[in-house]
Amino acid sequence: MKNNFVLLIVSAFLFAGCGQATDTGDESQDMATTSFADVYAAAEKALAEANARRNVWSKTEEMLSDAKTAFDNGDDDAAIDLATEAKLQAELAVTQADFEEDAWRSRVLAE
Amino acid sequence: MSGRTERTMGYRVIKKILPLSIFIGLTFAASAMAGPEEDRLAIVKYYAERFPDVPLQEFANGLYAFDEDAREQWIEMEDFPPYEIAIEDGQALFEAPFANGKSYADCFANGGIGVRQDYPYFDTDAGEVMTLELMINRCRESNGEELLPYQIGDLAAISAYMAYTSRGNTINVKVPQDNPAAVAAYETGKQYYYTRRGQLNFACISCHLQSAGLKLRADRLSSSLGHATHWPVYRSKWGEIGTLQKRFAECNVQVFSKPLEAQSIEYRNLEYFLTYMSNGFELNGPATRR
Amino acid sequence: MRKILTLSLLVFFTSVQPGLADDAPTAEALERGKAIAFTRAKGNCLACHLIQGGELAGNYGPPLLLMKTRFPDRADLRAQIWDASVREPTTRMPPYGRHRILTEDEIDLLVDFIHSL
Repeated sequence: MKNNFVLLIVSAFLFAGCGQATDTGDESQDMATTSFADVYAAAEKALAEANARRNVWSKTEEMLSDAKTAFDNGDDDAAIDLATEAKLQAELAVTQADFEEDAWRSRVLAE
Repeated sequence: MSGRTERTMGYRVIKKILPLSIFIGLTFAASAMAGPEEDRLAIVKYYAERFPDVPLQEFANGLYAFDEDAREQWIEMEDFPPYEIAIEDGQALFEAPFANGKSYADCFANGGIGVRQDYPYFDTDAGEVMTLELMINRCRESNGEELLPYQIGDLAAISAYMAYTSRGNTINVKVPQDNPAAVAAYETGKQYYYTRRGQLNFACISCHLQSAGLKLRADRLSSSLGHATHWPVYRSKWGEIGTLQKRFAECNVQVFSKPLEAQSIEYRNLEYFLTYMSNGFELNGPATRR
Repeated sequence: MRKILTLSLLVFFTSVQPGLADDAPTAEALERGKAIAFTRAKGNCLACHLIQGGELAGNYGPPLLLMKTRFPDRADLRAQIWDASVREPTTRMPPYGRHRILTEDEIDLLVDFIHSL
C-alpha cells in the first residue's frame, strides 16, 4: 500500500513536470496589471548593476531603449515585453558575474 | 625602412626556431616563486604538448602556425604588406613636432625607438598599468595636444611605427613581485582572461587556449601564446590597422558582451597579463591577419 | 501495484505525447529549425558543428550526426541545447536556453531539426 502511494506521488510529479516543460512561461496575465514604468525601472536597476559588474550583454541596452521607443509609440505590450527581457538578461549577466567570481580559478592552467 | 629585407622581417622571424629550452631555461630560477612565471611556463608547456610539431616561435604568427593554406596566402601578402602605409604615416606623425616644439621622442626612453618590448609596464608612481598606446596619448596630453582615439587611425599608425622599430626585440614585460599593486594588476588581468562573460558565456581561454587551432566557421583560432607579439595589426576583416585593444573589444562583441572602453583598467590589466605570457618571444609587428 | 504502475505510466505517456512530438515534425517546422541552426544571429550551430547541408562549418564542437542514436530521448537533446553545462560543467557550448539566446519556441524548432540529423 505504501509503495502504491509512492508510485502515485511519483507519477503525479512526472505529470506535473511535463506540464511545466511545455509551458513557455506566458506572463501576459501579469503584464496586463503591470505598469511599464515599474518594469522599466526594474530593468534599469538590473542594468546598472550589470554595468557596475562590467558584464553587460550586447543586446540588453538596445532592448531597453527599444522598450522606451515602443512605449512612446503607444505599443505598451511590446514595451513591457522588451523591458522584461532586458531586465531578465541584465539579471542573468549579474548572476554570471557572481558565479565567475570564483569559478575562473578552477580553469587556471597549472604545470 | 623601404628595404625588402627589412620589410619582410616578419616573415623571416617566423623561420627562426627558438628551442623550447630557451623559453623555459631563461626563467627557471624564477619559477620557484609563485606567480607570473609559473603561469607563463604552464601556458608554454600546454601549447608545446598540444602542438608538438609547431616550433615555439611560430605561435607568434597566430593561426598561420596551424593553417598551411592560410599561411601561404599570408606569406604572399607580406610581399606588399598592407600595413606599410601605416608605418610610413606613423613615422611622419611620430617625427612631427608638437606645437610647443617637443615631440614623441621626448616622452620615451631611447627617443621611442625600439622600446615596444618593455610595454606594458607597471607605473609605480601612478599605480597603474601603462600601455604603449596610453603612453602615446599621455605624451600628447602633457604637451598640450588633443587625445587621439585608441583603436584605429593616427594613434594606431604611430604604434605601428614604434612596433616596426622594435622588430626582433624580445618581449620583456616585468611584474615586480615586491610591488603588491603590480602583482594585483597582473592578477586582475589573469582573472579577466579566465572569466566567462557575455550572453554566449565564453572566456578568452574558451577559444584561444582550449580551442586553439580549431575552426569557427572558416576562421581558425589562434593561440594565446604569442598573442601580444605583432600589434598593431592590419586585419583584412577591418580593412585597416588596429590596436590590440580594438581586438579585445571585437572579441567581447563576438561573445555577445558589451565591450569595455579602450585603455580601461580592465583592458590594460588584461594586456599586461597577456603580454607577459608572450615574454621571450620576438616582436614581429605590425602584421597582417585575416 | 502493477495496475497502478501501468496506469501511471499510461497517464504519463499520453500526457506527454501531444506536447513533445505530435508525431513527426512537419517539413516546414524542420526548415524553420534549420534556419535557426544556420543563421549567425540565431543558433549559429554551424560556427562550431558540421551539419549536413550547411556550408563553412567549424570544428570547434563534434559533428552533428546520428543524433537519435546519441540522444534517443529528445528531451535529453533539448536539455543539452538549453544548458549543456548541467551535464558537463566545463563545456564551451553556450547555454541557449538558460541565457535566453533563443526563445523556448525557437529551441523547440531547433531541437526537432537537430534530432532529425
